[in-house]
Amino acid sequence: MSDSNSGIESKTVVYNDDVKARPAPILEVGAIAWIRQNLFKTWMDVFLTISGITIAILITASFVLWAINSANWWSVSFNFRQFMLGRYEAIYEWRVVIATIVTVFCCGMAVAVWIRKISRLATITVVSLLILLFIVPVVIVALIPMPEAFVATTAGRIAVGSALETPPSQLAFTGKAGEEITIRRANDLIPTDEALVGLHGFMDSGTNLMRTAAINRQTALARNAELRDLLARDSAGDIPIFTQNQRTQREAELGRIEITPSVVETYQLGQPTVTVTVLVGATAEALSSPVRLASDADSATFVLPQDGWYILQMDVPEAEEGIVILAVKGIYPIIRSTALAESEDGAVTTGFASAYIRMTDNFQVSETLPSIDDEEITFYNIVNNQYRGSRPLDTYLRVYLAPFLEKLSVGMAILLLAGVAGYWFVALLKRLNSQKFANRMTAYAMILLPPFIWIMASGVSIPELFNSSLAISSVLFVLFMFYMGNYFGTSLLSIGVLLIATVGITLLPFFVFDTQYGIGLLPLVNLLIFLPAFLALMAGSATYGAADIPVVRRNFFIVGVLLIAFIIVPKILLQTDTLDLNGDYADWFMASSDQRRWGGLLLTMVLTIFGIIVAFPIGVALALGRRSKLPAIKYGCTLYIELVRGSPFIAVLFMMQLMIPLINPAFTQIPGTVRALIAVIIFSAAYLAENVRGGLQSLPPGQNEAARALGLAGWQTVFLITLPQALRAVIPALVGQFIALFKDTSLVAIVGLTDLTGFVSIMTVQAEFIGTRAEGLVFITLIYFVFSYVMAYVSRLLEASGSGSTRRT
Amino acid sequence: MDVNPPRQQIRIQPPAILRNSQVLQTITQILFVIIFISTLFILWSNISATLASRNLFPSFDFLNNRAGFDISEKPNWYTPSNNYGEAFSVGIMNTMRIVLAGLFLATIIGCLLGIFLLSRNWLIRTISRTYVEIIRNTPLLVQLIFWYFVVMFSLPLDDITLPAEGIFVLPLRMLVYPILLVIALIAVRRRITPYRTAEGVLVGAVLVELAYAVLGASTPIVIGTAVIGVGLMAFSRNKGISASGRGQLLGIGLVAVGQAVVTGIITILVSSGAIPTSVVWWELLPAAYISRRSFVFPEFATTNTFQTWLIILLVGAAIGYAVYRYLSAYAERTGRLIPSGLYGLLILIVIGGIGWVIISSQPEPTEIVFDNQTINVAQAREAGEIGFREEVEITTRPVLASMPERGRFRFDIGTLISPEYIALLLGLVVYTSAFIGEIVRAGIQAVPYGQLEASRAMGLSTSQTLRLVVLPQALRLIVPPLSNQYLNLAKNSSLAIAVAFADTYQVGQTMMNQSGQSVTGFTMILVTYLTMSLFISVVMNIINSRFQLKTR
Repeated sequence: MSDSNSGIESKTVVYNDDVKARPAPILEVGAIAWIRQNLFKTWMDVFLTISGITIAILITASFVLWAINSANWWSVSFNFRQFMLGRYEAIYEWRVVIATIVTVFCCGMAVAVWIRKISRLATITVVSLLILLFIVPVVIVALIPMPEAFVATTAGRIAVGSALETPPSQLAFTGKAGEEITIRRANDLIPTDEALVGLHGFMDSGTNLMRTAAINRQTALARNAELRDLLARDSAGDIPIFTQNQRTQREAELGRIEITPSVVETYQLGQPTVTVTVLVGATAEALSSPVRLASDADSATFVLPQDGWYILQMDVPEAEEGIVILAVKGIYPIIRSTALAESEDGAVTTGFASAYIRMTDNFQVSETLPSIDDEEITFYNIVNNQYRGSRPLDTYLRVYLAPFLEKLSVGMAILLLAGVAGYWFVALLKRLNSQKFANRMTAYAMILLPPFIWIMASGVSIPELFNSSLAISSVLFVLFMFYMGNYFGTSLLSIGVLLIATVGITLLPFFVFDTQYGIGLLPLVNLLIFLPAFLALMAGSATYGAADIPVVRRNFFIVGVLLIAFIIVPKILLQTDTLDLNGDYADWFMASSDQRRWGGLLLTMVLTIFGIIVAFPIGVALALGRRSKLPAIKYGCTLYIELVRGSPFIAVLFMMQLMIPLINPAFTQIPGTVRALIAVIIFSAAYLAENVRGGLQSLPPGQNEAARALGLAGWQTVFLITLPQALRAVIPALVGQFIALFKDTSLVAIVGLTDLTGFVSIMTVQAEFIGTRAEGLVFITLIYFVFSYVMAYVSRLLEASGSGSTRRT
Repeated sequence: MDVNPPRQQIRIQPPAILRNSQVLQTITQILFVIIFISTLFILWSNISATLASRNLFPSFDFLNNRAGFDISEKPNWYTPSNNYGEAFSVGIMNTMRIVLAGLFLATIIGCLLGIFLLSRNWLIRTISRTYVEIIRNTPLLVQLIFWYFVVMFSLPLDDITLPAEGIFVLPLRMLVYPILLVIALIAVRRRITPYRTAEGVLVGAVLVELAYAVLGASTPIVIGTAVIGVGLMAFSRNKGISASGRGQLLGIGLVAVGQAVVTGIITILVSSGAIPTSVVWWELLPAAYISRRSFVFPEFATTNTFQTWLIILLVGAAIGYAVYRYLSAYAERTGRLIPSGLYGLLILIVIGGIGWVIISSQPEPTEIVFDNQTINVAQAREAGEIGFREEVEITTRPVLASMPERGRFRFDIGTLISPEYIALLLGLVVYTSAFIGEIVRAGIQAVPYGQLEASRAMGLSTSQTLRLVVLPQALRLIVPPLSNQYLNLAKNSSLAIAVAFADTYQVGQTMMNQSGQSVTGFTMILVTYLTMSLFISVVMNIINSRFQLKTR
């Protein structure tokens, strides 16, 4: 104890032994801490979390259960080709396939050039998805057997309530060589009413009638019990449950309920014996002697010798009463597809041809239905013999998922390989030459891609080919005058060439090409070439003498050669008759596809891609015009933009459909697809103009002033300074517009074109696919979602890699 | 020395006048106008020539012709013998119904969605984000087809009643909860009780009801809850618990005690026969009948005195707005926080209420003419012959409401809404609200975080921060894209044709098909939509200018 003023003695104590670290409290660390922080912080959070989980589970569970248990996915997988291509001619399908592969290849190139960094996660996801696509079907097919089909047969008729059904004793089905058909009595599956209610599988109408009767009886029993229970609680408790009115109603309902005896007993299900045999469809010969199925252990097996129709014959002795339900392995529903039989070139219709397609593996048989005594045998069709009952997961996997994945796997693999090949091609170019060369090659490829797609998809007839070459030579002429101005200046030579060449091109169609190969409006248009060519000459001569002479000379000669080529080569082809215009060539490559038959994803992509590409220069021109100082141009452009933006899209679509034939009687033959494309172009141009205007406004005015200070002319400023910066700044908005347009093309369904959305409505009209609207909608939602999400992701990558105004290099 | 000497050339230049920029500009404009007008002229003459060759002459006279077609959703006065002009106006009215309801609902749900997207709760954030991504990446037409053909068609043909018929719900004792909640809120505001008491009341309500549902509302349970409540209230005095915990415990205790007391009182009164059972248990008549054919909701009928009351309401609104403006200016000037909007609203409600009472207390007429018959009111009441429609004529209350009632075939009383309307409204609202949610989220996130930190440093509460700091700045960014979405909703309402709802576009289309006047028909449709877009743009521009930064 110290009593001095120096204060209490202080001691410093040093611990020398280690203090063990104690574990952190459980509630503060790791997953539990995260859950506490993020999900259960306040009472409101608790409430929100619980209700959120409940809602999420309810929605997801009901969707998944619906998808597995009761959705009819064959409507999607059977109509897959029509979802993708519409009614596109089958003989030209290879053209679309090639166009798609080339497109994916070019996309691979574009990804390599413009998106520097692809996350490893993305690559791993895609590759693993592809591997799954190949492996999963094989595993499923190996592990899970096909389910059984149920066929009911009886000596007499089945009468349930007001429904009367005479099950046929002969049933036609298709089979491949070597397949086994196993038949047994299904008594072990349906001993009681409850088992009958829970029966699931492909059922014919007779079996379904039994099942429906059992379901009705069970429902009546359940309602009976429920009403009794409610009325008992009503009279027992202190507080009544029902008003007097309700009570009387419920009691009346209770009195009306009839409990019938058990269905299995009433109809003597499974009692009679049955003799089965399989006949060859064409000849009605039996494969082997009939097998009698008397007890549950009996089963009959037949091996099919060849592809084609077979008949299952079931005989129940007259004396025996009751209904027997057979479980058959190897019979699956068949859909009849009727198509116009066309001759080789698709020109002549030679009547109808029916094909019978088995749903489970698309096995197709074209022979006519077998008949006995001139009476056609009913076949196990999809309309009457659907999958009924709640489908278990393994059946769903085996019957619906595995075949669909098999169908997709090859296509997806090819597409992925094409994309990767494009990516590596650019890497190769980079190594062989330089980054800049690779960039330029990719740019050329992307520029040439849309015309290539159009030519492949739509074909090009000879008149169109010549018209196109004339059109291209006109455009090249304008470019030629530009480089002529660059090389020669505004000299007598240039002006002379301009005048003579304009006259020449105007008269070109008459002298160079035979008139039979289509001329149309071209001569008049060519006369109007003079003005742009003159302006190009002036523009080119503005930089006369300033540029690098070898470069200028090179450009001049390249364009000159191209121009002459586009004029001379078609003429040579004509003169020397190398193009066999009426022979196989025409069918094979040049034949036009009827654009009215385009549909599905093909139509959607065509409308989107070509809509944006053609609308883009128009939109840029409108945006520049709206910012012009000249009031006439400014107000004209503003009027157009505001008018189109204030109108609903379907109004514009309908207007084009109705007005275009009115403008010129010759335009009546323009197919609806092209009219919709024109409407899309008109509509998108206005929206694109607004987006580009935003970019133009974001440019600092100092850029314009500096350009003027450097002596750049107006159009030079626009093309060299303003537009590159403005367009780079609005790339996200442009991609957003692209995605919005992709979704808006679904509206052409209202105008009668069968794009993805329109096809769902058409599909549900067919008898086989009534009521499958939800499945179709889910499928197209998936397609739209995947495309939109991928495009948005790519747009984010584009932004991140500095293609926007934040580029550092 | 020049490596590339300039080449010799004979330069030919255009005359001087063509090198004058002003002259060039004028020439360009004149050329542009000539090309523009001549293109339009060629188009127009071609179109009218083709139409004339089919004996169709575009004019607006056809609007006076008999329409001859029926509209699926129409007001009572429309029949096929009305003319085309009136048919078109019915279409416009239907579009207005959709657009106004859609804008209102989409804004509310969109704002909620935006708040959820920014929630602290990970689950809510993820669910909202998934929802927004799915809705935004699916075309609107596909969603409308889903709502109409899948959802509406999966409703049963017989009515579902909400709430179900004949079940007694809402015992009287439930009234305790809202009363206690209001008391708690006021008490917290006045600092009588610790904060978060109101939360405790809500939680306590849930817990007590759970207890009564599971264990039954018998006497020992009631007394038990009362005891537990008292114990919690005592426990909440303990300084060892955090302040918010104390408030919550107090709330729970308060509710437990209050509910037990009220239940006890009611049981005593009922068992002693002082009040009949019908007061204790209320039967809720079904408010809505939903089936595949129609949705029926309660009907609110306006009576003869409605217009007078409307005038009083307008006067009240004007006074309330004046009060609001005055108090806002006062708050700006002195810096005191006055809930001016609340006071203005209160004035409106009070004046409206007083007006209602005064008008309702007028004497009823003794005789009315109904259905061309004179009815003596007193006698008819005795005989019990006064139904809803007659009551509407008799009563002096401005608005009379009634639950739906079935007649012989369908509903005599009730507001009928078609499933097409509901499907279109749901589809449009769900679609647009996803976009609005994103816009709201982006706007709120764009407010610099420093603002939040500063307001917290200044001691503003969360709601004050939101109201006074975050929202004004966020709204600046939200309003322009929001007006874009409103315009989109107005134009997307034309998709009603896909769900067979008779809006402007669908009626206009029928009009065009029947009369053959496609050019004039399209002009009318486009003018309607353009006017609607213009109106929305102008209103949103006014709102926008109110929120924008006022710079020099």
